Amino acid sequence: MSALPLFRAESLTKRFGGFFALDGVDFNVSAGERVGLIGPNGSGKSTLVGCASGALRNDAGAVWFKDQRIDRLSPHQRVRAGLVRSFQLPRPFRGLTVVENLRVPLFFAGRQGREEDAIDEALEFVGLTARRKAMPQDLTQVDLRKLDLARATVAKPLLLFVDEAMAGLSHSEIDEILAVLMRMNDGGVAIVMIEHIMRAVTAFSQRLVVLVAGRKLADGDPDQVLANVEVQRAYLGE
Amino acid sequence: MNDFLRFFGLVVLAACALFAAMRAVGNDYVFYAGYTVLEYVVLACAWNILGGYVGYVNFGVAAFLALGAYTGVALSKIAPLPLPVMMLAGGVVAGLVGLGTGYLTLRLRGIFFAIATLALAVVLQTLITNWEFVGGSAGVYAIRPKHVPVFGSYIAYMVFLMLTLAVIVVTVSRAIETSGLGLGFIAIRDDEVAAEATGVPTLQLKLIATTLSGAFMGMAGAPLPYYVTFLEPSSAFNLSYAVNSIAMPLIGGTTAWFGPVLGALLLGIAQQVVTVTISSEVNLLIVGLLLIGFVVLAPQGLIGMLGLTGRRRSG
Repeated sequence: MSALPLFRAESLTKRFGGFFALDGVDFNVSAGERVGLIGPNGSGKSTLVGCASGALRNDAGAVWFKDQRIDRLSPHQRVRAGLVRSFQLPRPFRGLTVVENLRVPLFFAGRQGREEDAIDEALEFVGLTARRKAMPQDLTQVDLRKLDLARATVAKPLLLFVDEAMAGLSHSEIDEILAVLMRMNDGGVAIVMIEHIMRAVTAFSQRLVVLVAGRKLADGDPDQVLANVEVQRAYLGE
Repeated sequence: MNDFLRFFGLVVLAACALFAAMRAVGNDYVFYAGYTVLEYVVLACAWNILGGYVGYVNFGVAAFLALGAYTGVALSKIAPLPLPVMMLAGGVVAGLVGLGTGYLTLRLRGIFFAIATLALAVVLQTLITNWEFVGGSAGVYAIRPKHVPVFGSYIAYMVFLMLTLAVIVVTVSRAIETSGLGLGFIAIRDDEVAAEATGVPTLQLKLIATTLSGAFMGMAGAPLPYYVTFLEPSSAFNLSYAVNSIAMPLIGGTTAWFGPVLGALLLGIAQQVVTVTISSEVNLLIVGLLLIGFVVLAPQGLIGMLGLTGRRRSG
């Protein structure tokens, strides 16, 4: 790899009391790449997303994004730089309609003007156009996930962390969300998918990273990583 | 902008009509009662900027009001200034304290923020009580001029100023609602973490809200010494200011500017009527009963009950 990666975490460390949630993890993402991030519960996946997005402060190490060191920036500053996340559970603004929900990133993330067209495009993109005036409480689970992704789309990210966007969805709904993520990636957005649903992860990822107990156990081609004996023992069971 | 000017014009017209009507009655009592009601219109709208739009409950309303009042007292000891200047000064001091309070406490959420603001009121009351220059615990007399040009009586002049302030607060409230600032406020109220993750600079926005809210309360407090003519800490820091300023938006509805206005007019006038006809002690009972009634039967307040939860930005 000749060019510098889009996103770079160097020996990222995060402690909660005496517990090392992340212990010297190196994690890179190139522009336009699709990365799957897997690991057993409590392995540090969400902590990594937290440190990358600014919800958590890392205790040691550094985070770089587009040649800029970002690990002391607040979350909204990282969003404006083009690093966006979605949440494990959908977090819509419940007092606002679908369209108004999208107006928030349009106004505040403000990376490419404030043209309302961006909202229509994002709704079209995720397939929520028919529900534009609905309140979040009237949306189904899968539509709420789509709203989360539409909100991220409006912010025009270069890199998107998708934290378990498919948990609890049906087989066909998972395919819908996967299709949206693939389309976003086609548009040039690098995506890191944190997911337990292996079918989705393997279908999606160009590269697979495995975290176990706050350390990186494997990083590389999905087939090779999943064939790794240590990974199988730690993650998929003996 | 056009829309903004039209709204401003309408509010000014309504205010002029109200003032003319009060004049026409030709009885000073109308002004005395009207002043209190208008003061609560300002306080309720100011509280709603932080409490209703952003969702942070401020229990220290009396602290900001008293800051305005005592800024006026301190200034008048140094140099006699016209009342509008004192209101501005009170607004600046209370706004700065709002900014500082916000910076120190806005990492607290929910009930913890409310307790911190209540603590602010207690701390400030202790300071003022021990500050002899502004009268300390003994209180201070404020002699108001007998006569004011144009307005005649001083109380009519004070009502005019409070009415002007109410016009400003209402206009600012509506401007917030229709702007991106208001959108950011709602995002914070609904989900602060998601707001930050959507690009909303939550800390800056919250500081804008605490500063504006505090400043308007301070401006409303500056004329208080001349209204009561004898000001002491226990009355300036009275908890009923906070209780009323919270109850009024909750009863009227917190999502749009006319919620607190409606709540303040209804509750304020009811309290004035009851004070005259029954006793001022019944006021608190009325507030309590209405509050319980609305929380149970109409949690969105009057405007929610009437289906007026405010402009939905078209789209």
